[in-house]
Amino acid sequence: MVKRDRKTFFQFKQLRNIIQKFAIILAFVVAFVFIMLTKSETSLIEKTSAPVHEFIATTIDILISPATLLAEGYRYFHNLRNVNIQNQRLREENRLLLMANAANRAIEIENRLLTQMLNYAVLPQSSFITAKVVAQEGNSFTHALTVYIAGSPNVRKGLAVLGREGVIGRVEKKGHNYARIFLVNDINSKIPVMTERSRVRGILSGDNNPLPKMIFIPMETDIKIGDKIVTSGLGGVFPSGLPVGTIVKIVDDGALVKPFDKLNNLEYVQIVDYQLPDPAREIYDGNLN
Amino acid sequence: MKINEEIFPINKFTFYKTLPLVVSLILTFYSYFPLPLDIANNAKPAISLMCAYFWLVYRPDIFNLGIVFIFGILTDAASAIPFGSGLVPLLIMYLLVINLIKYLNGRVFIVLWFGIALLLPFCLFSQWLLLSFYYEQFLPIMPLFFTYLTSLACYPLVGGINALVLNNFLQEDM
Repeated sequence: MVKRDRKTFFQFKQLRNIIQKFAIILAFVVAFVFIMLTKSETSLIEKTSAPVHEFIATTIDILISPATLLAEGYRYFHNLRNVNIQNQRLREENRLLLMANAANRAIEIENRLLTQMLNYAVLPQSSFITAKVVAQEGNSFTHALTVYIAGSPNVRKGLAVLGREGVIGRVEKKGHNYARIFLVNDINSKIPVMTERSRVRGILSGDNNPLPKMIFIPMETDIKIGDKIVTSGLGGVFPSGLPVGTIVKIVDDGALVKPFDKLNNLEYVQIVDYQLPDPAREIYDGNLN
Repeated sequence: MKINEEIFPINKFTFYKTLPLVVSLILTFYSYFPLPLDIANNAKPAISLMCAYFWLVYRPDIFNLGIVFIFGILTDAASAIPFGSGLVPLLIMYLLVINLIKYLNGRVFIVLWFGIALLLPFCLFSQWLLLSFYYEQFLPIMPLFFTYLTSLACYPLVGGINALVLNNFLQEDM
């Protein structure tokens, strides 16, 4: 009995030594398999990693909650110092807004009348949710946010995400309570845009640098530094005319765009569903019918 | 009975043995805290690599390959980078430290700081190269350089927190 035990232990030890020798190679192989599976966009990785991401996002949210409370407390007392100046500024802003509101009402009525005359197809009503930023990741490899969506059923992959001033990204992954957003400067982000002034179209593409780049601009077009960039509406995810940013530098293969929102200072974001028809789906359904 | 103890070494310090992984994960997750700073959101320090380096130098018996692998998988699940691409630099760090352990173990802090300054570029550059292949285009190198600098600047803090755990819970011979 003792002999057999010793023999079993010896074999176990031998096996363990062999595994230890090849374990590092095996670990590298597994890592590369994971990468290739992610690259091939199989649902396996997405389905497996979604609940894990949900669990980790919850953990991160709980872990950083004391730090968030401290930061909010600091911000509150910091803002108290400026409250009087802000109050003055807001009063002035309110006066200007009241004046603008009266003018806008007249434009709105005129617009309604003209729309009726032209028999224009009105876009469906958009819906949105406001989500709190829980975590942010930004380096050479990615620029992404994790936001708390409180189990909202209206959030889905691909929806547009807005900050206070304009477009900041799109939903990449949706869990039950948390969603991951790729910012406009992430390498995975591609948004059809155009210049507001000259209507020159292009694609706003992130490359993990702080500023995204407008690429695929036709040669010798009328673009210059300071031009405002808005969404072009191509692709069917973003409606046309949403503010994105301003051209700050023209380079060989495009133009660098500074987003209107400060991407490093986002506390809350809006995930908007414009309920636009998917052009690809419409064509596909049309062909079937 | 003796054989069983050798195969399944369960004793009162088992819980403490999980602390390197737990502390490393907590510190890595804390690095996702959104800060309103340009440098923090474009060149976040590589906390996971720093933690792995620290524990591989001081307790390679506890922070072994299996733990490095689990750590890599969990940090990848938390991150937005392609799954598995955060694991590779951790495995490279494991290989480097295990092979250079005789030059690092038992040295003063400044030597360890110098050590990570030498090893970190290999890990970061390998990840940069891997992801450049993945995306079929070269990723920006400047943010990577700043990640390296912020990592070096943060190492005393990260190392200090890990050292507190090491000195309070894992100093006894297990």
